[in-house]
Amino acid sequence: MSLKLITIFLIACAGLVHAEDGDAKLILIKNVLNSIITEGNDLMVQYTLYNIGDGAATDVNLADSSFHESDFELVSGMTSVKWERILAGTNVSHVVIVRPLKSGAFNFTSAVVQYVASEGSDTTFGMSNDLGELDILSLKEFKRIHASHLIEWGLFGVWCIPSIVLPYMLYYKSKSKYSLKAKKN
Amino acid sequence: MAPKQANFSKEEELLLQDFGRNLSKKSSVIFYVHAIFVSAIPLWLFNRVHQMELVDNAVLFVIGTLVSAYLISMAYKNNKFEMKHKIAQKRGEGVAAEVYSKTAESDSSKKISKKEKDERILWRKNEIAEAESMQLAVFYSNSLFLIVLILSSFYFFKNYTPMFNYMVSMVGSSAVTALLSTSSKK
Repeated sequence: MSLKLITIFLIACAGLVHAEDGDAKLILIKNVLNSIITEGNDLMVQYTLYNIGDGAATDVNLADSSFHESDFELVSGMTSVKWERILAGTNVSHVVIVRPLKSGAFNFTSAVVQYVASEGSDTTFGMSNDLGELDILSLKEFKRIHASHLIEWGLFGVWCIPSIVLPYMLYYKSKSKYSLKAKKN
Repeated sequence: MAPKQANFSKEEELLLQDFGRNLSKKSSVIFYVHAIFVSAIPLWLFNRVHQMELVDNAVLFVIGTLVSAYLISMAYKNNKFEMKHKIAQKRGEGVAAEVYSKTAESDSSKKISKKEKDERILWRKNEIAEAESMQLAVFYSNSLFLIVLILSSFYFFKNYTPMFNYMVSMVGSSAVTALLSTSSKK
């Protein structure tokens, strides 16, 4: 009797596992591709959806409400995207290019994904990783720290000529003249 | 008892002027013009590289430039004084050769006495030493000032705020230049 019960229980468990095996499971990763985020310069944000489940995910919707119109200008891509189907063991990527309009610390919140894990089941919600607070450099600060300033240094060298090269040339000319006369003598 | 007033002859006054530390008006003007110019050069770097606005920091820039110019002109003065006599000694032979060749060319060579020739040599030697020491003092001081300024501004204080960087770099560099000009080992 007990053996029968154990057998029934094991079959039931196997059935449950089998039912879950056909479900899709999506992982959303949000990533900023720029090493330096600067006001007025393009910022690339990549969203990658990995289906690590055994079934296909359907009616997949990705949305990110981080980039408000007052803070960012949308250059390319969409902050809300839809995929009909993401097969098991595959991944899809989406890139959004925005332009920060303000400098300072900005909190990059999570993106949200919703999908149907298996036919007939309810919509599943998921969230991406949280990037947290990232610094958006002002254009002035960016130029100060990261620009090469080759033209500026070149012109600085030019400004230095009258105050360094010219006095030395005059001195050297006079020195050569009188050293030569002393030798001739 | 009132102190005795030193009455110098014209020759003695000329000698004091030639070998004293005091500068002629012409030399002072040249030094101050050079000093203001070289003190104003870093404004370009602080404006374009450190992104400091000229209008917003005008007062700071004017004060910094004037303080720096004063200290650099002091450095010129000290360097010139130290170098002049050494240059005069080195140029002695060359100047003598020049004066002798000039007097030999002129018709009145017979009329010129040895004393007058020596005076001419001394005067010419002093003139050459004056010019060369001025040029070399300007070259040394400017080079030192700009090297110290670039090192302090773009190496030692690069992570500080541009305003603090400007104040410390400018005053520090010109002070170092003025300080090093007081050493007599040239």
